Amino acid sequence: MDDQLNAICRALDFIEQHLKEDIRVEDMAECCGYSLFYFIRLFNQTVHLTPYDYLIRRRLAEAARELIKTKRRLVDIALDYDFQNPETFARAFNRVFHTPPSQVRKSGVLDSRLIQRACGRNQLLYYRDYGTPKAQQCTHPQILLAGSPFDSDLTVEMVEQVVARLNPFYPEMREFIWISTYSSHSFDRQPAYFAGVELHDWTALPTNLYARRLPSGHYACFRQRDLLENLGHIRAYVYQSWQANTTETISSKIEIFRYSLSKNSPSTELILPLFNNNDSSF
Amino acid sequence: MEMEFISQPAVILMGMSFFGDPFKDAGDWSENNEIGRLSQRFMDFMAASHVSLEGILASRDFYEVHIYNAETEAKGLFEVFVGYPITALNEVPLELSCKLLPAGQYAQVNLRGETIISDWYKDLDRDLADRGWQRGRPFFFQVYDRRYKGMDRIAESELTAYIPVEPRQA
Repeated sequence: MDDQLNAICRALDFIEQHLKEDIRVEDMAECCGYSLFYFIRLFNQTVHLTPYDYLIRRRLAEAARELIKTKRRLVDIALDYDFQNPETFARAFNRVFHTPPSQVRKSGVLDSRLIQRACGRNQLLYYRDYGTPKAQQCTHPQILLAGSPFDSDLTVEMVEQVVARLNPFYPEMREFIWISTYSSHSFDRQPAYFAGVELHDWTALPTNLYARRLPSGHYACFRQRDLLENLGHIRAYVYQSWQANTTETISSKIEIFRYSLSKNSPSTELILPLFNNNDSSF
Repeated sequence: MEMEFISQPAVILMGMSFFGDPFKDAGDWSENNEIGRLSQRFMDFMAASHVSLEGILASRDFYEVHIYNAETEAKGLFEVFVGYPITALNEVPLELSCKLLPAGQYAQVNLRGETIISDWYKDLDRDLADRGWQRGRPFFFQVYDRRYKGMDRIAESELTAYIPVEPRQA
């Protein structure tokens, strides 16, 4: 198993060293000493992307970085990363980032969750030890939440803060819902964070809390043990591998976490709206 | 100070909030303080969403709510919420949150001209006590409607502040 993992790490290093060159999947397989068929299957099982798709995503990620950080012409960047012409580059870019390269050049921003970072040994070990989070599609009705804003991302430590803030108002609460909003109006800021409990009657909203609406619609729900501890790995999987292998499109506008406070088995669920959602909020 | 005591129904607002010391960088009534920035951020959002949100607004009266807590007196930290009143929560965009101003008794204070930017609230507790009332809850709000012409025309502007009150305890 370790030999296979090491071989895939060698392939990943090989890709990093030759991002701007005309390499083929055969070259990656050769670098590992595997047959083409076996290499593709093993890479897919280990990285959860095909070698070719991973290569393209890595090239696009580096090209996007240059688009934002430098003033080089779009055509030069495209050709540098082995895209045959600007049109092919733009199509691939749009498919992965849901934004044309010209827009990214103009705005200077790109949702970092959509950027394929170089996959490292830690990500592979995470897949090996935990497996991939299981996705389930679900339909949620609209939910109103009573809660409070927070100023940093959800972590295990943050759970205590959420409980401390909401508990005085809802001492019986058994779970809370966390929303990270990635607004196009706040590109220059970090996401807005909010945690709350379900509110059945808005007239009962305490003055010190806020109400937020979670629209009805179709969502993809991801469950896994230790989800918060592995959030970086899980985001990398969901926004890259899962997204690449499904016909559904995740709306990257919000992330929702449902955190159960059960003393025996506290658990977290990551819930992401799907783009075909009926609600215009997405 | 012109003050009236009224019974006010609950109002639900849709908007954006800030928590901290809003006057850390710039003083009261400066557009560069956090309240000014918050208002600008909200207005920019509303301008971008103008058409789709018009249907849920109860009015275009602009509310600024100050909510105090245990840290306010010691550290000057408090919460500011700015927004518009709405008729329903159903269409509130993901980017915005809602605040409920509870129904109850309020002192309604009409502020005109330079009084708006004065320390009119400095003697508020005494003014309320003189009339047999005291603050009921740790917040107050101001409503900017068409009578408010802007900071550059403050002399001809008018706005109303509301302070939740209860009968004074002996």
